[in-house]
Amino acid sequence: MPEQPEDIVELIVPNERKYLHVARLTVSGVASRQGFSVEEIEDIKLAVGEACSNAMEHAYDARDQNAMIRIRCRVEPEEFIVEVIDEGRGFNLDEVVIDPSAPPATEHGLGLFLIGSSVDRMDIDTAPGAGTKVTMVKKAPGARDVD
Amino acid sequence: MRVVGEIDAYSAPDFRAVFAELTRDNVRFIVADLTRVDFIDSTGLGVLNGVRKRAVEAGGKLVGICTAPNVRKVFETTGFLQLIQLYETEDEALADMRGAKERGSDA
Repeated sequence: MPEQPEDIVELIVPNERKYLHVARLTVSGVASRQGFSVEEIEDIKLAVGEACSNAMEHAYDARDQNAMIRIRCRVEPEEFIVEVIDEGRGFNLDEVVIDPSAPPATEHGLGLFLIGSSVDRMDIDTAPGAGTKVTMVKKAPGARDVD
Repeated sequence: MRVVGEIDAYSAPDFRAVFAELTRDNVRFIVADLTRVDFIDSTGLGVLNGVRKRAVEAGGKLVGICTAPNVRKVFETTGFLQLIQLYETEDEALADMRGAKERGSDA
């Protein structure tokens, strides 16, 4: 049987916090078409919002009028994948401590912790000067039982 | 204090400003009614925790009223539930506050 092709839905928003709601709403709309429960959709909304907030907070110089955040949803049979991509300053991943087993002792890093606890898999691809891509994966309903 | 809508990095400055007014007015015992909040993120938690810290420093306390499962879950996941007690009803929250006032704050 041929593999089902993935659907891709992409949203590009200016680097302005007023678009956080739009990003969350768009992604949750796409996720709802894949049959996720209300709770799972709330998890996805939270993760996407945190990833966008982080990008808006850290990626660009506030004066950069052309700064954009790209939010890409990939709907696959087994997984729902959201990528939040910026072309900003990036960072050294070794300097960021991510412990998925316990929340950070301070509010710093809380966003990344929440992403990690809201999705099944998270990956950060970044380097100083090279932008950042945060990939968040939620297993599709039904795929969860296969493990 | 009733909060309506979403508490995220966009709306956080507005909430900070309102809470700052409470602090200026020496309000130390604060019940944050979150029953009409349908979304909160790490920035929102940070705002509430800042208010809680100031209230405690002034000898007061902050508690919340929350019924939305997704909002409560964010508090639980992050451990903030140990810092900010959430109640399901206004009566429960106010009873806690009355007790705290009588004891001169136990937060």
